[in-house]
Amino acid sequence: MDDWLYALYCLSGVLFFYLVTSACLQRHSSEVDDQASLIPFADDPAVARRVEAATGKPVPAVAPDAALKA
Amino acid sequence: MSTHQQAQAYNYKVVRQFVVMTVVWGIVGMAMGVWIASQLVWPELNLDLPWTSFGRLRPLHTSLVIFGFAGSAQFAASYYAVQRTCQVRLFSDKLAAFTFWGWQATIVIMLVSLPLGLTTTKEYAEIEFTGAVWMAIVWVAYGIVFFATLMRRKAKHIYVGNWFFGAFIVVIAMLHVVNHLSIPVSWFKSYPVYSGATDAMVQWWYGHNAVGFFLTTGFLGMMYYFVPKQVGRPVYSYRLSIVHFWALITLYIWAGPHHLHYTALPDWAQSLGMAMSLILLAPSWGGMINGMMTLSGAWHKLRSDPILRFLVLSLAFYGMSTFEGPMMAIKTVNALSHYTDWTIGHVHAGALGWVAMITFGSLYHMIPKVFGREQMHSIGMINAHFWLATIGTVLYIASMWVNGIAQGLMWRATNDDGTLTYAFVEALVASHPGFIVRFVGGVCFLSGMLLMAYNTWRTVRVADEKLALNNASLA
Repeated sequence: MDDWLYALYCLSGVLFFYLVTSACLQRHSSEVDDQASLIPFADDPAVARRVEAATGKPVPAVAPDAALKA
Repeated sequence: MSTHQQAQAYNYKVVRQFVVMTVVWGIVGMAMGVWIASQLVWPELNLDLPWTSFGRLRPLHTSLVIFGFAGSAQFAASYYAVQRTCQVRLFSDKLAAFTFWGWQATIVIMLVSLPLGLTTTKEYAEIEFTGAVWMAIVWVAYGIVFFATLMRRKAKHIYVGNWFFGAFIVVIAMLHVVNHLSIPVSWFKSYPVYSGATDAMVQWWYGHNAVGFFLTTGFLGMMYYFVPKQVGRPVYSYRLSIVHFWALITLYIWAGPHHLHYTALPDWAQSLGMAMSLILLAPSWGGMINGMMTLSGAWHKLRSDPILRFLVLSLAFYGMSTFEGPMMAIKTVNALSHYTDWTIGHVHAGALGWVAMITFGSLYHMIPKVFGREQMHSIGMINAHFWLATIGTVLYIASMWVNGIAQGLMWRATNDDGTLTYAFVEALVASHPGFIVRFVGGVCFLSGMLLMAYNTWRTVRVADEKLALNNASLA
């Protein structure tokens, strides 16, 4: 394979990674990250209270009925 | 259960079905592994029958544990986690049920066709044409159920675990279709559209990414949901999880050529595969550290929680095997390790240590919830399973390291006149003690799996419908 083409091939991979990661992290404040990381506890109020107590971060737990209404 | 309640509750029925079949296929697939391990110790156990020969049972073992055990586990975990993180019921109960029965039919096709010698001969893609087409149809249905559920989510953000599950579904569909492109000459006989080195490259692009996406990406999705849930702490760094996702997706797909070092594949492609494999260490360890650090401030829970021990040990083995893999991809190391038992040991460090252990931890977390119990029937049995699985894995890996290095060194040893120092059979004789230790390790691991089946059965037979519904409604 042509050396320049090979280099371009590798660079395109790096560029793809940089662009998609930047796009995903854009507008991601630490508050948004905190909220997103707490999603697994958001439908389980009892666990959410324990996580809140352990981490000191408010867990946006959804009331059970509201969580499942279509 | 009233129709109203059913409409409101999460769909746990399909999760329960996949959970039970994970255990069933785990036992059958691992028992098959122990059988073929014993055939290498006692060749008489081939039984002089074509259907029970090592060459036919070995692909059956890999197909059953990969697609039956690991596949069912990922269906169960992804259906469970996507509902709970999106706070919606799974899209279409009927289509979800189709994926369950369709997937079980696929495994049964493998169970029947592979011992009959009906095989494409492509590793991890042995299922012949009709079975492969059926598998693709089921997989598309799986994608529809998963992504339609995701689109109906109540939460604004798509949780990172679902990104991993989503990538696993999309990429496996692509790999399966491309690698299985072939011309059928009968229902169960076909010829690939590729030939020579191209065929080999497509196969190992598929083969390596079967490991990368079927046995890693989906399980990372599992890790990002079940580790925080079991620890009761959010993932250590959400930002790192996003970088982890994209880095893994970008890099894994290029690493396949390291399976074809020193072959007819162009040298530049081999070097590219080696370089990508080495870079892959960074995202792999990033993910492993992210999972481990989720236990920050909660390490004490390991003392009393065997489920958490399974999850953490799986991450340790993930770290170990994702270090070993890039090292083995280095061409000079590969010159020693390739075609030896070292490769088998490496695969099982990932398969037993990472895939199976994170599955055990996730199942022990899920089973009580979906069957309406407070906890598993016996915590002591989970603990015993943990130690049997750990000892079994260590015996397996260590024996294969010793065998692999011995074989590599004996095969390459030459005399002053250039002739080989050892005949192949001498390396085989030297490997026999390792085969015995590997068999013992496999028996330990299978015993743990049987304990899990008993524990699951005792938990399931006293399943509380009311509590299960309550869990599904409130959960």
